[in-house]
Amino acid sequence: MKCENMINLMMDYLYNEIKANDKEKLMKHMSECEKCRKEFIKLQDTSLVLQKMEDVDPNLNLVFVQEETSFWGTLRERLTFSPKKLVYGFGYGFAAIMLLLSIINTELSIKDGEFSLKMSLLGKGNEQVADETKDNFKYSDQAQLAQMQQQNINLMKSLIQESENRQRQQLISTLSQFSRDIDFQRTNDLKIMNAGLTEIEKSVYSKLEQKTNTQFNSLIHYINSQQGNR
Amino acid sequence: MTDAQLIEKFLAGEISSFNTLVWRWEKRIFNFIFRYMGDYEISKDVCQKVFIKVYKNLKHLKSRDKFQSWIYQISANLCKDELKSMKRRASLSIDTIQENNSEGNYNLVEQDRGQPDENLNNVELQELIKRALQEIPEEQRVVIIMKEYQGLKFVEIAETLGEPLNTVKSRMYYGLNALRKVFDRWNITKEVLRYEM
Repeated sequence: MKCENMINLMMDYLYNEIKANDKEKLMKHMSECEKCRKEFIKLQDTSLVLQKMEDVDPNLNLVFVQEETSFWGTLRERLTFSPKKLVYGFGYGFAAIMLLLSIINTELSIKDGEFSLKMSLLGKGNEQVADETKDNFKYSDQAQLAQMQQQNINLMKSLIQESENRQRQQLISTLSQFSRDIDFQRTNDLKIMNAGLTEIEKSVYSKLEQKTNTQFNSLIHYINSQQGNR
Repeated sequence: MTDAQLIEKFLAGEISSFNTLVWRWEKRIFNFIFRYMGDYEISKDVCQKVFIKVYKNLKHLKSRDKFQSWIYQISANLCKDELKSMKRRASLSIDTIQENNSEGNYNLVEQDRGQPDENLNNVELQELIKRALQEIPEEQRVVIIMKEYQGLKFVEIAETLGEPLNTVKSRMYYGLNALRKVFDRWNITKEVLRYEM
């Protein structure tokens, strides 16, 4: 085996980290190679010289204490931005604004049975929308267009009429229900008042009866005593 | 208590667990940095930076049992950065260049030492080994420190540095060879050190 291949084995052997079979290989090689034998002794001597260096006392006595930061200190620390933080902050802020704008200016519509979703960063003015709508409905034949417009008007009128009727009916039904409720409430109130009055009447009558009896009794008693005196 | 348990407790809000972790690793990490940087005061600063970074980022460590390789990784990276900024600062100042002229320094070492077998006390030896480590390329130095002084296995070093195992071993080999040449240049041999072998 070549001498160069012995380097790692020499290191392992010098620091007692060599495996048994490797040690055998190294020993065999060194017994045959004087150069490697001398080399190893030199390495060993150098290591021995190095071992003469003693540890030094650091005299440090490091002691760590719990960090106590004030409210303002914590706030200041949180508000101190590194350039990296600032870049990320601006990036996230920009992305958030873009997202917010796109959500605000989202148009959701159902046209001719087709569902459509439009997202844009800047909102479109009413005029633009109107123009676009007009463009979408280009007809070559003006008469046909007029006819369709008339049909649309009629359709709208009938829809409005129907809607008005429905609303009127709903109003009538609500009012009649309200009237029924008022009636029912009034009847209940009258019943309660009647019962209350009857109760008062009974109570007043019995009190009057008691008082009258007492008066009569005292009068009779007085008359009897007058007759006795005579 | 294991490091992983201390980390869990710290992350649950117990600061004392982190201090235990610091106390456990402080010396090891400091010596790693000191051998890497070669300067005591700078190493203290870097060591503090390491633990502050660990304190701040421990919550991001997914595998708690990888703490050792993670803390060495932080230490090695900070050392590398610090050396880079030191070199940059030095290149801006002519005075600093003159002061840090490595050739001048080592000539001084050799002049000071005079005869290699005379008066080589322990303080001088510590200084020489430290300076010798600064002489070799960083990629070899870090492997040598991790292996010789931190006692990491080659697999652990490879994991920490994110390098293939064979690359780590060959860096160790070339690093040792480079150091040997430095020691030879400064006449530092085992005989001079009077090893008890």
